[in-house]
Amino acid sequence: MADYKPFSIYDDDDEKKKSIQIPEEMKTRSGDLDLEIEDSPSRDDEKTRRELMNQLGGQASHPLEAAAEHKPSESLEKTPFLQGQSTETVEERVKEIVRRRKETGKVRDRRKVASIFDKPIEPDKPIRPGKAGWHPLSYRAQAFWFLFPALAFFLLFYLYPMVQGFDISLTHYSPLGKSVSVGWDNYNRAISDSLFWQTVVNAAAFTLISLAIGFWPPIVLAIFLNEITNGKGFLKVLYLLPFVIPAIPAANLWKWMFDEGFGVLNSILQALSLSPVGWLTDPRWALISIVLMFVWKNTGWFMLIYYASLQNLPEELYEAAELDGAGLWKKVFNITVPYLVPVMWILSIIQVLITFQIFTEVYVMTNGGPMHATEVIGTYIYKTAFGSMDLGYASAMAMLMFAALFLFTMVRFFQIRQVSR
Amino acid sequence: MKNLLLLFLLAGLVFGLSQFLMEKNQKDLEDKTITRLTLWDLPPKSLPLDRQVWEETVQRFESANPDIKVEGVERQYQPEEFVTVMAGGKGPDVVKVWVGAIQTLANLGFLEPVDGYLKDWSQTAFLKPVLMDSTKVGDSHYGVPADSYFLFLLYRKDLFTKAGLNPDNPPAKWDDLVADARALTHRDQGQYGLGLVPKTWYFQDFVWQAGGDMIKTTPTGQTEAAFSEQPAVTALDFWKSLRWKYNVLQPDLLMPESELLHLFALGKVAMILGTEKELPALISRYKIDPQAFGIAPLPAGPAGPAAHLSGDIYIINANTTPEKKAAAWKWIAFELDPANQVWKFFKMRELNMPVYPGAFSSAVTLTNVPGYQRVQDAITTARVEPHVNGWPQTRDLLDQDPLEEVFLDPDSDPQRLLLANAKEADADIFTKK
Repeated sequence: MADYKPFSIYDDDDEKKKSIQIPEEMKTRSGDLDLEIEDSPSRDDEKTRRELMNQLGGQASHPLEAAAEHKPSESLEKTPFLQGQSTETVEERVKEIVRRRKETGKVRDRRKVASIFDKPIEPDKPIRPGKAGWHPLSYRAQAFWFLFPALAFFLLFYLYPMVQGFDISLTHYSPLGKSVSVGWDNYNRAISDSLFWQTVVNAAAFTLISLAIGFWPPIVLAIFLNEITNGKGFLKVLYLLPFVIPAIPAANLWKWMFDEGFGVLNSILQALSLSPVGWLTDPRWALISIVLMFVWKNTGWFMLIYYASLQNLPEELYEAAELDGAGLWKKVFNITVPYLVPVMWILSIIQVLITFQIFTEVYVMTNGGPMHATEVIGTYIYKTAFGSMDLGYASAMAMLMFAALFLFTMVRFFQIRQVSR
Repeated sequence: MKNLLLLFLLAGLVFGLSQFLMEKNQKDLEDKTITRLTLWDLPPKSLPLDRQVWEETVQRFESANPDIKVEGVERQYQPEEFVTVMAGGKGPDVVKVWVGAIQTLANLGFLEPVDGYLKDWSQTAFLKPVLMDSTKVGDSHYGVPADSYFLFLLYRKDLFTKAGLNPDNPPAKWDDLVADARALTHRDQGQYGLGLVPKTWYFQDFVWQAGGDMIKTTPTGQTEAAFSEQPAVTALDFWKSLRWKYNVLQPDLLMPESELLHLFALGKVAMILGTEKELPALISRYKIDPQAFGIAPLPAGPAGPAAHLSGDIYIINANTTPEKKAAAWKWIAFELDPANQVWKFFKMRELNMPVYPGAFSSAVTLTNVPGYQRVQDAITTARVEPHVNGWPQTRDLLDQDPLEEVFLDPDSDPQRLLLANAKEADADIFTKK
């Protein structure tokens, strides 16, 4: 059962025991400190506190005043709640009550107590009461206004087209407003369309192969790059270069390299007296060839993310490990890799999302051929929408893909959250 | 000083605003008397000569029609762009679209029927029936053929000479094609006799040459696939033999036409199926002597010759205003008028531009251009793609399953493949449409 934890890991136990010093001018006032609306106790909090104190048989005075008048009693903190009836301490009881209130929505989650938009604290200046409600020009509202353009962009160019797409997916679409509603027919058609399922299998295969081939190289490269002292900048640029090249020229470049008759790869094979391979024309090789190109293109970018993450790894961990006699592999597998695990989780999700939606590379290199061996959902949707002009069916397939990826992302995020707890 | 500056700023603002309002008024006034016609197909600045011809044509048109103002847009028909702008109500008033798209675009309601205009046009009688058939959907015509072209055998005369073949005697029959392709194939030198892309676009010509057809209509009016019948099987068997028995095709069998053209221009492939329209671009891009290229009708099959008619069709946006539709027809009639076509021909010659017959209106059929005599015969045997619902999907179906498979699998069975695809087309495409 998830427990409500109102305390931060940065809490200092010794600090808690000290009495809180309240300025004289504040002691004379009956209200709270009114630091900021987010930081001040709400009515719910106050109510909770009063109820709690009533149950404890104490006075329901303001906690800060109480703190000023009475030192917190360690014995009270550790006293079993309602002696003789329960073994719970006061602290545990408080936690339990607050947790219940939180579950019923009566107490807000107040773990987020500070923001970059908080007013700067000026120690010499008396703290003025804050505004009680949200104001569009308030200091904290700036966060909203900074987010607004991105939010508006998202709503206009992502959410709205998505909703429209869903609407279109329920019709036999005509761009001139003569669409005929067909209910879920397009979805049923997709489910019974063998080619659609083949594209799903191909996309899944592409994802798995690219994960198998492309997951570790960026990590290894990042670790090496982190270790070397000279030429780091040059190597970073070198590895990132494929990612910077736009997808279409990069795909064309590889297409010619993979060319069965004139490509450099087959020239090398022939120089070694080996038979040429139909990299893009043999159904057994075509998908793998595109994956190779994809991995080449994206490894640098993933490497850079891992490398950036490694910059925050405390060197003391390595030093301590060395003192304990750890060798290279032990340091890598017991310090570096565990440190990168959260990044690996996130990047694996990104990798799956990108590969499942792959379009440009496939479209340019094989256009889904040979014999649909590289037909992925993206190319099939494109051909259906603009080749056959069947926008309703294409939208239905796009919606199914969106639903699958959304579900996958949610599950993965949930798993990550569970693991991090 | 500050006040003075403010005054100047204010005066500037008032002046600018008044100018803007005056110009707007003038434009509004013009708009009431002038019809603004939006045309795509304005050649890009990278093709200055084409652009010059286009702009001079527009000037001559505007002089002849002072109540119409043409606004050119540097954009050509692309399915995804065209559908998007049309759906958004921002489509052009006139544009040339690929003939293969007419059926779909007409069904979507984008195209204005032009039967009314054709009835009164002086050139209608001169249009060949096969050309007009390509614009017909149901009982209506939805455009006028503009740049018509046919599928030909393009070949490298220099490679023919090098191989000891007569460059003026290109293959006339399938057997000749095989013999010449074998003589021109030198795998060790990276040279291949024939470039062929496994697409229905090319395959249907071979089916016609074998005496068959791609689709048929039953007595009840139902469309059915005909490509499982013997002529289509014969054609696909022939394709398979080109790949596996004679091995005369380019190594990358799935490369798109654009790359095949590249290999053709580089002399790596001696013969390809293409249109004469592609030659001027190759000549200018690769700086090749035009005399190095030969153009010939497609080799005849067991049932005789058959060529594939294609090209661009002038269409009028069905959703524009009646005034603009009328102005759009004026532009089409002006552009395709023999007087303008002759002017264009001489202008292109004057500017030393490569000239190909398809660049001119089919109404005047300027196929008497020296060096292209062979083209004249093509129109007599030319055929058009099926114009029925579901054909684009059927074309896609055939492209990847039977056509690619015979190129990739030496053990493939053309008859079985075509039969399976015909059944699928009948069940999933034609019966549902």
